[in-house]
Amino acid sequence: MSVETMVSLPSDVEMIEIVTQVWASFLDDELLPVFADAAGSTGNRLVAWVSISGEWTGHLQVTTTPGGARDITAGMFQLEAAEVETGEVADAIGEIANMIGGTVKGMVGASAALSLPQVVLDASALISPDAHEVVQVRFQWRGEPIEVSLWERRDSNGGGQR
Amino acid sequence: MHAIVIDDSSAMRMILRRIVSQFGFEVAEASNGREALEVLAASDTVPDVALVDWNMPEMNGLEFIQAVRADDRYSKLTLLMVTTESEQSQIVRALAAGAHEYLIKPFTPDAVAEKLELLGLTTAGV
Repeated sequence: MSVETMVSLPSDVEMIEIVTQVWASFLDDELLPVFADAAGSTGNRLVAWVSISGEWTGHLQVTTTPGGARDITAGMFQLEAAEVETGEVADAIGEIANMIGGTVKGMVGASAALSLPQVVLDASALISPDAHEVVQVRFQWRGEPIEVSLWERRDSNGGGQR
Repeated sequence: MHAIVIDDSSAMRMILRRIVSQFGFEVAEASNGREALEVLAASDTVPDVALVDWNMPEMNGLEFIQAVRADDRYSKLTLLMVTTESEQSQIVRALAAGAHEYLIKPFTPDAVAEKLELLGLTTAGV
């Protein structure tokens, strides 16, 4: 008889805590959680993600505006915003996704593997037909929106519970 | 004192360089384990410490540590793993492979300082 293994996914509160900790470690200014039930923005977005595979399969996604990404990059590299280059943006946002994803991976299973980060500079090109969103938290940072979401593969072995 | 920071993220290399150089280290960088081995081979000086990320393309941090541990030239090189891998089983793997200490991302500058002090590479208050 087989037994399905249920993994424990982070709650919204836990995800806020994870993201806030990453932010506080490397960036100035406070990251403010946003709880308004606003419709998703259709504006230009940049997305960084890491995939988690193993007992649970899915991906962790960080989404922000180009302005937010530029400010994050400037903060991490200690540059002026005008000095930021595209490659540096991908690197910085990817590393943010890597650190948040790594912490989430630690919650979902010891055997899980974390991919290298991927970054898309035009989020409209990102499609995840085989995954559904299981956690979403939103923030404001320096007036820019930051969204962090966790997506579960529809055929994920363990299935997650919160 | 010399250090090498090995991470595929240039932002993370910059952050660690900034922290470690405050303790007087001259800092070299590499973006993966293979490149780090090339940097080590090309240098006249064996660094005092390597700060090693785990997940990197070409050669990951665990593979780098195993390669360094198998090479007598680097027997004095202290290895500090700096990574998002937080599970106990991964920590055990890294230490068993030859890492001397382990630091989980995200970290604070104070946490890096504590590890360097624990490894005997700095003194308190420096």
